[in-house]
Amino acid sequence: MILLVMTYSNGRLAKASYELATAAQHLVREGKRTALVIGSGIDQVASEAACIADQVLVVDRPELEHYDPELWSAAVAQVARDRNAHTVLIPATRSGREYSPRVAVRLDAPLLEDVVSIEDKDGALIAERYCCLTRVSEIVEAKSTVNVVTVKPGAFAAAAASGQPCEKLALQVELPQRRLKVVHKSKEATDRVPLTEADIVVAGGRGVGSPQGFTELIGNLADQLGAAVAATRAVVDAGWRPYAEQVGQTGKTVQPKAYIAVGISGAVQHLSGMNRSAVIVAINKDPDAPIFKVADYGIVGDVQKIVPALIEELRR
Amino acid sequence: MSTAVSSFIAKRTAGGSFLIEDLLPGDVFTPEDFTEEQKQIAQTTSQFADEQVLSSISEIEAKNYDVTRRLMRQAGELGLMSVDVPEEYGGLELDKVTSTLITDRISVSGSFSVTYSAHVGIGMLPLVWYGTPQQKQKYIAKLASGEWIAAYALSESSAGSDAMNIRTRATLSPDGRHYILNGEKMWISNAGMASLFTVFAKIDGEKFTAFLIEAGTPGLTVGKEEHKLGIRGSSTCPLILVDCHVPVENVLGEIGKGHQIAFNILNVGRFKLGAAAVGGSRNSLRDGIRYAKERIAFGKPITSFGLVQEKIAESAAGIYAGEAVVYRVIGAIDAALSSVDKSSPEYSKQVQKCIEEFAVECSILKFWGSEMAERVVDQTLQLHGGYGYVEEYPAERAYRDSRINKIFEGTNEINRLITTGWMIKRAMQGRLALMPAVKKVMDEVMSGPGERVAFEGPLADERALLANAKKLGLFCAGAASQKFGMELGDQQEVMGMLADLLAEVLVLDSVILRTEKMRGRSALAVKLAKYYAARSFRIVESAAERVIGTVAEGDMLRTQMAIFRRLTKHEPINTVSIGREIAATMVEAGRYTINGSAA
Amino acid sequence: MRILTLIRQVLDAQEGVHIAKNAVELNGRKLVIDTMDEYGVEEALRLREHGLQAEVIAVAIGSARVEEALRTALAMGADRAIHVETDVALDAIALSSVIAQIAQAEKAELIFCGGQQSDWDSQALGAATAERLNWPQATWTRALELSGSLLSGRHDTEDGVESFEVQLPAVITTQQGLNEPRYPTLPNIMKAKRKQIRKDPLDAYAIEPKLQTKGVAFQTRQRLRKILDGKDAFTAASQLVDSLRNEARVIQ
Repeated sequence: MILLVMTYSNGRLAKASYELATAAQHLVREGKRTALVIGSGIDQVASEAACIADQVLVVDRPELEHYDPELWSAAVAQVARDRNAHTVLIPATRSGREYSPRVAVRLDAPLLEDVVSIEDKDGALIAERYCCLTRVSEIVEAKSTVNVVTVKPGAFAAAAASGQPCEKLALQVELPQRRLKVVHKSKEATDRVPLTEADIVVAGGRGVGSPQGFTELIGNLADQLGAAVAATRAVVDAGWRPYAEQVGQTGKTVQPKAYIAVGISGAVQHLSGMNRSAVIVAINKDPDAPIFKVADYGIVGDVQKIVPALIEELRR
Repeated sequence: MSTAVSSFIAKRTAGGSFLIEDLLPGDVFTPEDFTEEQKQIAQTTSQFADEQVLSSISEIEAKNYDVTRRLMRQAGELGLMSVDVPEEYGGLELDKVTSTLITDRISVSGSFSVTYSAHVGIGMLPLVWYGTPQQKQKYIAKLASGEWIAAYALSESSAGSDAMNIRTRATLSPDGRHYILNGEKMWISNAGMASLFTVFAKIDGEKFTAFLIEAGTPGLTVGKEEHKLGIRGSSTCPLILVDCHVPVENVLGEIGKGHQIAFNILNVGRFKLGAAAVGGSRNSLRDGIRYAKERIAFGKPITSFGLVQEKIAESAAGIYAGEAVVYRVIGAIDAALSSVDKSSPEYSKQVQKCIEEFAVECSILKFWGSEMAERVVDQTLQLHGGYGYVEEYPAERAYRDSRINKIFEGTNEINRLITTGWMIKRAMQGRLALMPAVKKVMDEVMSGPGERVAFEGPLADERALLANAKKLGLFCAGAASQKFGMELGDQQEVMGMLADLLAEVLVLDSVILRTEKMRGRSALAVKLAKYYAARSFRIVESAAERVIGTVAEGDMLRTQMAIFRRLTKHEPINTVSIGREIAATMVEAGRYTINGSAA
Repeated sequence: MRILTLIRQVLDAQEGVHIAKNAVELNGRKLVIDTMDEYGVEEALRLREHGLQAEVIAVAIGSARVEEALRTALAMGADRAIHVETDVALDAIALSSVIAQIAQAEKAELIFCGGQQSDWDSQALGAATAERLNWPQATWTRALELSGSLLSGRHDTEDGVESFEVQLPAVITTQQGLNEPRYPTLPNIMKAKRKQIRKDPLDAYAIEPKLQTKGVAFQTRQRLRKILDGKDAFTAASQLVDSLRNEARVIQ
């Protein structure tokens, strides 16, 4: 069967889980589309998952209240093995990319990492993924009896929930001891829509000038558009914004409908985190900034004057 | 000896022999011979230069010496100032190729480059070469670490080129414990930051001697900063000495023999300037290409246009030639040094002798290198159009910074006179078999067209040009000697023309040897060599024609012009198509490249 | 104790990407040690400088040229290196088997690996190696301390930063900000000349690659590049909003 490992937050299934269901539709190989929900007190999530799969397997244990790569990989691998999964799909979130290799090793399976397309061909699983900081796309192929795949969030459309939820089945698994002890968790709270799910992202770079400038220009523009806020590595390094907002090679990858880059020069490491946005808008005073090469729309000029003008114009 | 680095040692040659000898590619040191360690050292230097120096450029240019001092200390921590320092004083004692490579790669900012070079070269070397163990013990570690910065004070307001004419006096104090110095020095690099000065004065108005003076010594005042056209981040101040008491222990080297220090140090400064010119040019071309790739005009990036491609090709060929000639000469110096006994008490003297052997080559590196770099920064500024004229872009700073290179370390005029003058002097001293070579050529050309020598390989034509260039050089030297005899030294214009000829022979020779040593591994190198050779030969022709026009008249003139025409006869290459190919590769790489990787 | 630092050699950030023979062209290009891996080398050296008795071993798997990157690690201060020489491109899961075998043979207790490298965009090597060795992992680590056999630090997660503790042996993957990698100093470059780089052929290790790369292509996307002059901020803003509303239709 095809195992779809669900990801969720705040009791709701994440969009990436719905996208897994769509990815599974691209496969012609036999097997039930089986959702797997791992955690503690996850009945509601399981019910939601029941609307996008042929069956739902639930591993609900108090030890699984908080994510851990070893616990998750142990659970997924066991379920996959016990239930004879030939394909394991995992969302390529930060966590997914971190525990899926452990699953692959446990199952002695290849890992097709962060794929943007997937298909069956002559018994082989073929997928497309990016490399070289997303500048190059490569086709990878695996022919093993079991294959593990992480699916890039946003690469597939979210599947529609069916009106007829399938059955849920509770499972027992053996869990290892938790070895990575979390001493403190700092979660950046934001009133705005989460960065990875936003339709519009307003991002700021050093060109914004200062932390205050960021709040005034980027924050206000984002509020006006109902957008999420993002930042470049330089801005995060300078301490103006939290790491959770960082987009790029060492931060988040986003794919909104519109990405508005303000005062960002467009280093390849940053571009790799947002260049699949549907529409890219760039505002920068330097006409030679690399960002203008990948922008659909842009304005060359003083950020301090143009952003307020935009906010003003949007208010009308 | 400086064992550590080069695994390839060049053939031992005599200074000036490039005019009369034909070497094989395997005889010379080329950039392709860098060892792994040398490449890593180059990499560390480049990273330091690009990441630390360039990112602080506005502070440096604003004369924020705290920033410059910090960078010097960082350089010290990396070991960049320990390269010429003996191991027993904590130095690395590496070869001259390595120390030259550092000077080359560090040259991304004219100001910092001068601060660094003045410190590590004229600042530290006198102490390394002539210091007593006590003096070295006291000062070297602090200088090598960058904690202290050194300065060298020779020039005065009325004694620049004629350094022997200095007026600063030193008199022994009555108790015999101090020398008391009075005088003024001019144009002292690093003065505003230095903790240690090497000051030249004449004891009793006669004995030319060097003194080590610490900053803060009563009687030593650093004057106001000069406001200069370029290298604004380099400190340049006058020094005023009023009854400055210097302990006798701080006399550097022998009393009355200070001029030896001065002359020997000059050679090092000159070849290093050649290296800095190459490094600065490479950096400038990178800026130029970066701008040209993004600048759109008439719907295309300006790199699509022929006149832009030509500038890029010219600059690239100049850099390629610069690398070839600099490392060829330094490799020859290292070859000479390789047979010097490190443990000998005469070691420093021997080192200087080995370097002095190549004084002609060092002078050529200085004047040819500075002029090559000047053309490159000018081309880069031009590529930027209006943006080359404003401070937002680095082009104008590089342009201003470059101008000093033709002036200090001996003006280019002086260096041309040295080039020709010392060739002739050595010939007369019997150190260089120049006369027989001249005679041979004279006999040959006078007896009518000889056999055509056939050269082989992709650079066959260029080899032919080089062979003729050498003949022209010898011929013109002979003709000028015949005309002026012992007075030739006073005929500065002719000396200058001969120097240009000699320079092109050395450079073209180095270019061809470097390219042939690559044995076809790089089609790009062959193109660069051809492109450079075309330009080089035009200079040779022009200089030779002028010499002949000066030294001959009437029938003699007609005869010599016939010889000239025979020796300059050649078919021109298609510089446009080769230039475009060269430019295309450089543009694609975004900077000067050879073999497709950063040199 | 022994620390392994895994390194990959990648295109220098300034080099453009070229494709030849259905693979990214590396011939004649400037290649460097990946910065994410440099953080690992630096961290290992830092731990040692803070008093840990450790041997730092740099490990790389790849073609002959990869040796340059190992020399950089040695010049930074690593004690020795192991180069598994092969021209075959291997995926992270396959490579992890080689690393695990080396770690076992060397009795390593700590492995550093970059969170992600700029060539293969894979984040899997550290985790896969940890699983093979049955070690815990902390990925995207931005601060680290070692006290006895207890590692403590901070690392980036899905939605924030976590402070963690984990016992050795462990795999740590790096995040930018972990440290500032040192430049190889000249004395260390010279010392590195005498350091050992052990060469192992790939077939000295049992591996079973299960993933093949079939081809690569440029990922390009034509952008509209409709760039306005912003000297008159209001006119430009008005035009942009109009385009986004009516042409691109991404805002109301």
